[in-house]
Amino acid sequence: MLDLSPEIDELRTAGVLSDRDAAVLIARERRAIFSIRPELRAMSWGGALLVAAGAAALLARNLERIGPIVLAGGVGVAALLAYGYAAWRRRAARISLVDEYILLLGALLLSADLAYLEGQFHLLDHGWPRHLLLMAVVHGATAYWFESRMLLSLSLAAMAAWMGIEQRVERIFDSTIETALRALACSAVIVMWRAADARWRTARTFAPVFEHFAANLALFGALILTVEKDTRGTGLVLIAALAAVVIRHGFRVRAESFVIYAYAYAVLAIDIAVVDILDDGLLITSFLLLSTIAAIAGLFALHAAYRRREP
Amino acid sequence: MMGPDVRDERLMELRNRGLQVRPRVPWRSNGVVLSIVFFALTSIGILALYGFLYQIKLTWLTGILSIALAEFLIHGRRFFGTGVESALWLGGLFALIFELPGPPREEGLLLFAAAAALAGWRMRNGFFGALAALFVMRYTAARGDETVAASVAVVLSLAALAALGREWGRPSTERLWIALLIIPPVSLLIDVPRLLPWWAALMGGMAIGSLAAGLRIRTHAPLIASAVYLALSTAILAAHDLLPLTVEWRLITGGALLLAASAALARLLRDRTGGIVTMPATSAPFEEAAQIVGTLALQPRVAQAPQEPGGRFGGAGATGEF
Repeated sequence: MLDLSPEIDELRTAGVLSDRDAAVLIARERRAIFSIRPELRAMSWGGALLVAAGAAALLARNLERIGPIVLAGGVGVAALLAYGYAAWRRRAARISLVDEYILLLGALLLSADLAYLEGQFHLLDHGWPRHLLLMAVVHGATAYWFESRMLLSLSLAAMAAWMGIEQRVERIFDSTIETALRALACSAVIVMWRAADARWRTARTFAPVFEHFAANLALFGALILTVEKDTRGTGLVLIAALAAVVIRHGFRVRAESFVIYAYAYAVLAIDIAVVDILDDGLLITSFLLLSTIAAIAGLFALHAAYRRREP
Repeated sequence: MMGPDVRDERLMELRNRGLQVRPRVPWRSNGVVLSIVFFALTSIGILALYGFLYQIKLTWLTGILSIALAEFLIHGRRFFGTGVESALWLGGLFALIFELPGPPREEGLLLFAAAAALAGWRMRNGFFGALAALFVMRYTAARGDETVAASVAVVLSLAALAALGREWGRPSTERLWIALLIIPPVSLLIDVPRLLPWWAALMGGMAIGSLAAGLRIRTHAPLIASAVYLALSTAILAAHDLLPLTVEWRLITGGALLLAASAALARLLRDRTGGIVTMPATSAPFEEAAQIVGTLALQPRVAQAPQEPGGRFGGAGATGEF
């Protein structure tokens, strides 16, 4: 066990901490208060994912034994029950930390059910990807109704999937220019969605979700352009510009994660572009060595600049 | 000057929790995420250095240069816990091992264990200490005795659990016990099919013991270890087909039990303001982000019947090929 209460008490004496803040911190250090909230959240999250995985397996394995209508109906009813429970709890005076995960479970069950229905009955025929758009709309609407960032992220992921962007890291190397343009277009749509959200909604709780999705999709699209020989120059310019914008945004909103990954995307793009031009092993390893040292020094400088702006 | 003294380490711990400590600690360190980023970048740099020296037939210099640079950064620039110097130490020692003559042998794993332990001791890095234990466990498993590997994991966990019960001055020492408590059993997940069913009972016992210890000493690590041991126990039973129901109903039942247990605990503790509570405590800035990323990555997918050749999409619980 670690008990830093003597040091916290010194900070209180030095005036760094107020009496009240120091008392709370010391109570935690001495285990007079011990919150198991993270454990309960992890348990609830794991529980929701396990039930949803079980439902997906149920749909996949019991088609012939039970039949598609009963299966889809059963999972659909379970999804509605989860949504109903979450709606009922929302109206109650006391909200439990588990409620959000019941809602997540409902959304995952609904997604699985919609995909299953489309797969079995081909309701949209060749336009089947539109069921992803339907999911994006449903998850988006329920995200606003329940004010849930988790559902908003499901909605944005479904929209990205509808626009043709797959969730696989290796896509960077086997994607086409078309995928890059789709990623950039999707990012632009999310930026517009964020602007509309900021215009018509007072709470700013969704802003980080929009911003991280938009930034990653845009940087991902620019990175694909850098990998493609025909668009390498454009990709490099674009990724440099986007990384600068994202890093500046990270400084502005005090979120260092933006700074770190925008920097990482830019470094990766430069390395990919230069290594592809070089054809000599000695030159390649020399460049990688120097660029990595430069990248480390640059990240230290960025981090120091970020820390200097801390209040 | 080997590194930060006890007082420096304790103040660095408070600094990493976002407090403005006084007097200022002279050592440079980073938070967990930034340390991992610097560790990864430095590892790439060591690989590039190895590649460069390979071209001029001087690969043996990689380890020496890396460790020398790490010591320069520690002594000259007061780096300790930035991620750079620990990657240089570990990577440097590994590079030296790669230079040893002769064919690869199982005993090489013990050399890597010694290297991880040495780097862990020098850098006071608990994760490296656990890495050393993992190499020893892999060595015993490579010799065909997974039972010994599992026994090592259980013994280390028990020792770490006992150690966590007493108060430690250095945060790094506590981190070592936490790493030894959690990481070795996690690594056992790959050995599950080869462990006999009675191991499930032992793992179940460890889960209960860790849970009880965690609640008694009010520390999170034993609670996490309890979840790991419970998962191990369930996985062993599942591997030997000793659980009732089909896979899908096992998942649904297990998930429902987890949800019900957390709902019951949340309800039971909701009005408490002292002791074990459910109110938000220390800030966990990456907790929600981790859950969102985890949900997007792990969400169940229902495959759709292919209709036409073309691309492949996925997301929000659905995927398909067309």
